[in-house]
Amino acid sequence: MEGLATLYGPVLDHDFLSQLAEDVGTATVIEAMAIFEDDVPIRIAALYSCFAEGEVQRLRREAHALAGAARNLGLVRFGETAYAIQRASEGGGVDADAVRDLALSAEQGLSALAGWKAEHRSG
Amino acid sequence: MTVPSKYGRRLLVVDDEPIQRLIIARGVEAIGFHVDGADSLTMASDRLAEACYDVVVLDLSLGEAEGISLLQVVRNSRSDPVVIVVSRLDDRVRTATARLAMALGLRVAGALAKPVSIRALIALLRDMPARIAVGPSVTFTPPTAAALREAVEADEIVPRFQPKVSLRDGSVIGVEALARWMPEPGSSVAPDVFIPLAEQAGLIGRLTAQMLRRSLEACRRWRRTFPVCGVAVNISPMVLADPGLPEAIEQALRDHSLGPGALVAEITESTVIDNPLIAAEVLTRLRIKGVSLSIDDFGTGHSSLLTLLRLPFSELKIDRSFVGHCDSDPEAWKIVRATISMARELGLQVVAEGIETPVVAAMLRDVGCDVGQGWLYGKAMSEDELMQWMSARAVEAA
Repeated sequence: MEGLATLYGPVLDHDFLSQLAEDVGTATVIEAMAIFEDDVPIRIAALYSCFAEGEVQRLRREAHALAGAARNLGLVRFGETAYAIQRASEGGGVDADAVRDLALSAEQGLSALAGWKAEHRSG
Repeated sequence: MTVPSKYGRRLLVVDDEPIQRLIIARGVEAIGFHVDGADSLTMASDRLAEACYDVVVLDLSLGEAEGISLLQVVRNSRSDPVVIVVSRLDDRVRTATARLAMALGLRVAGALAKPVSIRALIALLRDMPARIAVGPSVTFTPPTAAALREAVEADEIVPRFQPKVSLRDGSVIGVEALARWMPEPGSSVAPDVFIPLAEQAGLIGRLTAQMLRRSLEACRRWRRTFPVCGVAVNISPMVLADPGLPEAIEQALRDHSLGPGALVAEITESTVIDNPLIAAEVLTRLRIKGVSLSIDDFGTGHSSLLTLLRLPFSELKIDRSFVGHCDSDPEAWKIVRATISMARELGLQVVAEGIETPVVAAMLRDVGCDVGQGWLYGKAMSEDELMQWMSARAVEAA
C-alpha cells in the first residue's frame, strides 16, 4: 500500500472532486461515478484477459480507457497505475506486478468513491 | 439534410470517454448550450453532416483513431463551428493541433488539458473568436505578367499606409507603405500574388522605385503637420543586387527635401539573396548614409538569424504569425519574448506586426517591445485617410 502511494500518489484528489461537484453539481458527479462503477469491473476483466493472451494492443486500449475514466473523477492512484500499464504496453512489456497494482488501486478507488458518495448524499 | 438547432447554441463533444462527455455536457448545458456527443470519428462525421454546430470540443485520442483526422470534416461542414482541442497529451501536441486547425481556416477558441476544467471551458466559450464574414464567392484568375507590366507602366500600383505606433506612449512613430494593385474599381490583387510575379517578370526594380517615389511624396506632405512621422518602404532582395541603390535612394530623398531619417528600408528575404556580398555592401552603405534598415517578417522564410548576423539592421519586425495568437498560444508567446529579448541585446528597435487586440499590445509592451503595427491601430489606408487618422489621434492625445 505504501509502495503504491509513493509510486502513484493519493487514492482520491478530494479538492478536484469538490471543484467538479461545484462546477457540474453533485448529482452529475454521482451519475458519472455510477458509469465508472459499472465500467471498471468489465474493463479490468478485459485487461486481465488481454494480459493472459498477450494481446498488447487491446491491453493498451483498455488501460488508456481506465486511466482516462479514473482521472475524470480525481482517482489519481488508479489513473496513474493504469497509465503506467498503458505506457508499458506501448513499450511491449507489462509485468504481472503492474496488473496486480491496478486491481488493488481500483479497489481503493471504488471504496474512496463510495465514501465520498455516502458523505455527500447524507450532507 | 442539415438540421438547425432548436435550442440556440449547439455543441458537439467528440470524446470516447463517456464520463468526460457527461461532465462537459452538464457543464455547458448550464450556460445554454444543447450538447450532442460522439465517441468515434464516424459518429462525429455523421453528427456534423446532420446538424449545425456552433462549437466542436475535440479529443485528440479516440481509442485507436486520432481526433485530428476530424479537422478536415469540421472544415467542410456547413456550420463553421469554433473548435476547442482537448487532450491528455502534452501542451506542445495540443497547441500544434490548434495551430494546424487555424492553418486549415478553422476558428479555434483554445486548447485544454484533460480532465477538462469546466471553468476553463466556459471561459473559452464566452470569448469565442468571431465568425469571419464571407462575401459572395468569386473565381480568382491570377494576373498575367503582361497585365502587371501595363499596371506598372501606367503607375497604377499605389501605396497604402499602415501606422506604426509606440507601445510605450501611443504616439505614431511612422507608417509602412504597402503596395496595392486595384485593376478595376472594387477588385484588388493581393501583394503576395503580384510581388512575386513582379520579381519573376523583372519588374520589381521599377515597381520599388515607383513605391519609393510615391511614398516619399506623401511623407513630405504629412511631415508639414507631423514632422517626426517617417515612412517604411519594402525593398525586395532582388533589388539589393543593384550597387547603385544607395545613391538612387539618397537622390530620391534629396528630390523630396527629406533627410535619411525619414526613411526605413524594410527587407524581407522572400527569395534568397543571390549575391550576399553585394547585398551586404549595399545595405551597409545605406546605413552609413543614415537610412534605417528593418528586417521584415522575422522568423519566416529566409528572414533568419544568419541574415540578422550578416546585415546591419537597426530594426526587427516580428512576423504576424507569431504575434497574432501570442495571448492564446504559449509557444508562440515564448518565441516572441525570446525574439524581443534577443533584439534588445542586439540594440535593435523591435516592431510587432499583426496586433489586433489591446491584450496582445499590453503583453508586448510589458516585455519591452517598442512599436506595434496592426488592425488594433489602423488598417492600411490612403494618404488622405492617414492624415485624418493622425489628426484625430493627435486631438485625442491632447
